[in-house]
Amino acid sequence: MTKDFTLDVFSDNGFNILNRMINICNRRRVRIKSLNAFEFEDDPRKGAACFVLHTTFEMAYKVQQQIEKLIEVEKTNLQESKEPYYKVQKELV
Amino acid sequence: MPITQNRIKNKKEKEATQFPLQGAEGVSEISGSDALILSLLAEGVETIFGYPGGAIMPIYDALYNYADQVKHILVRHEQGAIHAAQGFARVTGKPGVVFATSGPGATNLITGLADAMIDSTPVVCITGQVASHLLGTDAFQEIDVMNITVPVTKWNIQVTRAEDMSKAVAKAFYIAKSGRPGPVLIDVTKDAQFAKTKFSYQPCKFIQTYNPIPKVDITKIDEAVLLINAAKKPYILAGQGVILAGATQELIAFAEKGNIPVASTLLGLSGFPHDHPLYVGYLGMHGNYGTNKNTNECDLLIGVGMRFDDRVTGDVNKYAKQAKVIHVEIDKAEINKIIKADVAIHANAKEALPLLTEKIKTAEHKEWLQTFKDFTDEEYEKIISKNCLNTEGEIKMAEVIFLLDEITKGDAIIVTDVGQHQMVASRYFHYKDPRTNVTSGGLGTMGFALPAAMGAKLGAPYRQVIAIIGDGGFQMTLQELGTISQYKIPVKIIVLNNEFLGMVRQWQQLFFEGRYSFTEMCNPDFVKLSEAYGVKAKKVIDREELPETLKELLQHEGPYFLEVKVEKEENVFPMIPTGAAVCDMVLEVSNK
Repeated sequence: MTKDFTLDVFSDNGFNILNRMINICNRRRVRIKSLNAFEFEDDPRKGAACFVLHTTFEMAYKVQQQIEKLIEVEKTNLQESKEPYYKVQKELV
Repeated sequence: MPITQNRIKNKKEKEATQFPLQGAEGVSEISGSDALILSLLAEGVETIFGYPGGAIMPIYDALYNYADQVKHILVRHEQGAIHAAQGFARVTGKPGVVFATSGPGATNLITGLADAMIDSTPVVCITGQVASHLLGTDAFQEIDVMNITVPVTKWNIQVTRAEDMSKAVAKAFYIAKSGRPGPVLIDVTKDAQFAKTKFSYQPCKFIQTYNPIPKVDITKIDEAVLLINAAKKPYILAGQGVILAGATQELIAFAEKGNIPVASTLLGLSGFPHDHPLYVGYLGMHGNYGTNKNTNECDLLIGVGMRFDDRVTGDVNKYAKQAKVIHVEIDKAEINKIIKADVAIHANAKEALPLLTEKIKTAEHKEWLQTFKDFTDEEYEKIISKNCLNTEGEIKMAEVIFLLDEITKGDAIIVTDVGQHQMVASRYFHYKDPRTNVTSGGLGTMGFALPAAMGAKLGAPYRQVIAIIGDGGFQMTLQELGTISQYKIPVKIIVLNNEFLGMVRQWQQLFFEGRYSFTEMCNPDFVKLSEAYGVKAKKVIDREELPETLKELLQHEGPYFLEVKVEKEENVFPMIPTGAAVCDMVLEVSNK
């Protein structure tokens, strides 16, 4: 069953890293419903990307594993989205 | 000891009159190009495969100064360079190094990068790039190589400042060869090649975000041992991870203690000696009958350094459903990717296998092993004897490989291309030592073998290196005969010519009602072609000539090209029909 999953990725803030993450989702044809990427204010060499993926848990887990093995990625965290991303966006607006 | 500027200083002082460095003012600083070459030397690089062009000229200019320390092989196409580097890496275990220019030079590397990525081959590619102020402007020969190579590299980096050069090279080599090896690419802008920098080199030994050596979880070892000791029909599937880890002896010890049969994947061939009594054959679509059939009979499957590729599993929904699965694998993302493991051991095979061996009980498994022998007997009677010991009609591919194996006694590095000849070579050559099988497994790149054999021979100059190629694949990279001739690389080339794209034709015959849609080839005179390149060449049509000609080929000091005219519409059996389960492997398929 497909659901929304939040995948948080903490990594080095390299030019290509975001592209590598997106590429893994694209190859697997996993829908990215939302993506928020930023560099850390206290250390611009580091950054994070928060994906909301709409897929099965099995696929989300496989994507997580493949993203986690990217050289620049420090750690990842996968969880079922408790709040739909559009609600979050609405609150921001 | 880190390499310092003294080395270049001395060299420049010595050779200043011969090789004045453009723009050099003293030796307090060196160019980014010099820093690159010195970094490569510090990594122990002795051979570079490459092709110069506008955006990499400063690097080639710097290379000119070090011609006595590093051998550069000028290939005839960048694809040849990267396949040669792959061949070099596969036989030596060291990263192969490639130089190419920007734009088309870089894009010509893509196939090889993809091949190296999927087959876990350590390659370091260095591409020239337009000056950094021209990036993204569609300048002459400018292409976004960084983004193009994202899916086909383990890591890539663009160097735009000379001072970043040595760090980038050190990191690239560390990443390429550690953990699960793979290709990396360093794109160097022209201004970074010209710019000056102070130089020192420190090899990379650690990257904070990268953990290539996983710590073995002993609880997983214990769980695996319980399964192994309880199993009546355990079965080891050995992949290339065994070879990459240098774990052949550890695998032998493990298999012998448990008396567990060992089958090999295509890339795992040579990781376990074929003359060992526990070796039961090769897995996959055209692998051995018993190895595939028994996958769905075993009660415990132990995958070591392999990734359950679809050519191994057939229909995954019908794959080893009756068995428990232990998966020993260094790449965590491969665990549970295709086949769910009951016990996953995230580890290097060389570390995990001795821990398992120490704890498992000795066992016999006589009846289980006998089933493999029974299948082998059946396969021998119906397939192997008919193909290898054929005495009538046109020469069969299997006869050539069988004879070659007999003459060399398995003591050779076999480089194969992709197609029927590849399957036949994998089935009938008896690999004795690790790193003697070089083939394009995952990507299935036609045109791989000729340049890869060239690189393999340069990597292992004292080994006999034999390229076995089909007539289709040979014509994809045959221009590398020019490289072989120029550098007198004594590779032996055997083209098995059936004037067809044989594997595609076989499928058209068996599964597309014999509609041979654009698979027949009208070939040139290969002998004349080779001779035009200055390579000794011969063609064999008669079976009687084959043994002596093969001996002549092996004894010849330089490169040798042999064309063997083989049966035009020969099929490779047994086979797992597409989409079928491994247990549905058939010894023959009727023509629909």
